[in-house]
Amino acid sequence: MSCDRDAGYGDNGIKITGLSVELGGRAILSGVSFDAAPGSFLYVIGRNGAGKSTLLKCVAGVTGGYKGELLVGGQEVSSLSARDRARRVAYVPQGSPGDVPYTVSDFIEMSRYPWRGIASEADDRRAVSGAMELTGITAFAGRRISSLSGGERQKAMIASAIAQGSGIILMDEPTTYLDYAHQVETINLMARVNREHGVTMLVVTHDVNLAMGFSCKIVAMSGGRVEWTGPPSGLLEPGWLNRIFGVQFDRYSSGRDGELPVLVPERAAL
Amino acid sequence: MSSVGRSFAETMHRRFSALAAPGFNVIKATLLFFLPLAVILAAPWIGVRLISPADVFSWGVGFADSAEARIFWQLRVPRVVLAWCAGAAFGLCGMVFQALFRNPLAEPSLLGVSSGAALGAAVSIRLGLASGGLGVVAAAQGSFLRSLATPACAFAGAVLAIAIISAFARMARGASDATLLLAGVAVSSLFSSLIMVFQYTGGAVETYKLLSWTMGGISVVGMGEGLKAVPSLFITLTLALCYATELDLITFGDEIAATRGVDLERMRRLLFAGMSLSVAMVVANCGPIAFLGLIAPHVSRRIAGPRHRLLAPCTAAVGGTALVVCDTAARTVWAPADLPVGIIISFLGAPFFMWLLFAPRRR
Repeated sequence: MSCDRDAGYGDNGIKITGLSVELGGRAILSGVSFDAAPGSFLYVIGRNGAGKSTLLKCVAGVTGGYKGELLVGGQEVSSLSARDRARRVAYVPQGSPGDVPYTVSDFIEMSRYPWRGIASEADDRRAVSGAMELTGITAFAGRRISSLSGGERQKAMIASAIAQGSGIILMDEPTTYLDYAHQVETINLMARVNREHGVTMLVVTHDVNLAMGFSCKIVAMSGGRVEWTGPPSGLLEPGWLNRIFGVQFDRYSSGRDGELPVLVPERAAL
Repeated sequence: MSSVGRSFAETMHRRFSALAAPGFNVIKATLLFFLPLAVILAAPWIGVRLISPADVFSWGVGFADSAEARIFWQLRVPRVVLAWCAGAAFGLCGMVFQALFRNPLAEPSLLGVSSGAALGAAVSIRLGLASGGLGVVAAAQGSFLRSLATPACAFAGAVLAIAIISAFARMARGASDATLLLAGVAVSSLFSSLIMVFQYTGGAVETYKLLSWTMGGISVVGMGEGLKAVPSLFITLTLALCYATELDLITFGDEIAATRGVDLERMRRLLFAGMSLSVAMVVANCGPIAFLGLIAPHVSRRIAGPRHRLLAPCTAAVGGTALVVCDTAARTVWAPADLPVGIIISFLGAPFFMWLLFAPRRR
């Protein structure tokens, strides 16, 4: 991880200043500001409806009409063409595509679309096979996406984002619908992509333990605003977790040295 | 498009190197090429009167000058050409609409385009602009203009329908595709009610002409008329092939397509306009042939798989061939009457489609 690298916003940094979005007359985001250094790993946490997903969609260019400054690799998102944007930012939406009839390899090949006419065919092939190997889905490359399990689909989605070859990958709740084994696999995969390929990762989650376990910076949102940013350990200072999530947390030591405690939401006595 | 000059050959190679798609093999590809060809070559000889090659080609002279030869060249061949191009264009429009609206039921007639054209035709028939037929004696010198009147009005009607739907789409920016589809259904039923007013209040002759036109029929005189659907086929096939990957991506939803670099707004505008205009041109000449735009892409998906660069030519082949076969049946089964081909399409198409829906699917 390269938390301490200077945020030069060269190729794959993100810089957000005073970002505000209104949808249907309601303010979804108001004055969001933070930045992600090139090659860093950020988690955006918060309750449902805190504006996390909208934030991600703005960076991905899916939600337009924002106010403020939103730079990816030094370029304003709204000024980029769809293809230019896709070469910089890949996006893995929440959930997975429904009943699509395409095979896994078809889908991953399609992610090379923004490079059409720029990358050579050999580049495309290398990117596709590389992404499939990294995610370990080569074995079911020929299967239809609609026939895959949830965990396999998520891997195919991540492979497609990797094959897209952009320096920034955005993920919306990547582990929410997965079993424990697939959660761990997905987390390790994200870490590898970040470490080995220098891809800037911006991951949205409401799972505080996931965010505490592996990240160099956490952005905590609440009510469309950034409530708190900092390294994971800072989140343990009294009061913050309650303000962000609206519940008290019990802390349990994992028993291993140097690891942050595991947080379990406090339940009312039954 | 900077990529055009740079690597046209490479792009073309990539587009057409998909013959290795799973489930698609050399046998299927050969069948897809030769079956339509055989149908096209065989259809003109079949009809009320079977024509033998000896009637058309005579030794030494080349082309014979017989009544059969005239029927062959002036009526049968143009009719087959028109039917093939129209069927292919209908099929491709259905394919593109199904992808754009992410709805397996989307087809030209569902979007109001066909009924718009029918309304235009109804207006022209009611105003007495239509040519030929029962009781309407067209003055000799005016007959050419009169022959254009119904297609022109039908075209105008189709364009009106497109304009209404597009305006609605612009107004309800961000409305879902389902909303747009429903708007098409609303426009369609509004126009249909107006057509019924014309049908109910018209005289027997007008009503008959209108009714037979709305059933869809292909009848042409001369090669010039036979080529009228060629531009439609050209437009639909070119657009479908150029936007093949975009159509694939949009199947995964707007978010995935947009974040993979597809300019959704531009694509929608261009495809919607191009397809609708092609449909309007075809409907103006052949009447609203329902069902073909729905059935041809579904059959083709079974044969060629979901990827549009392969699906598009396959859909064209299936749609064109289906319409030629049905049209040949239309002018043969009830001979000497010339049934509207729309009847045959629905009669044969409906059970076939049911079978397609319920037949066990190979995985």
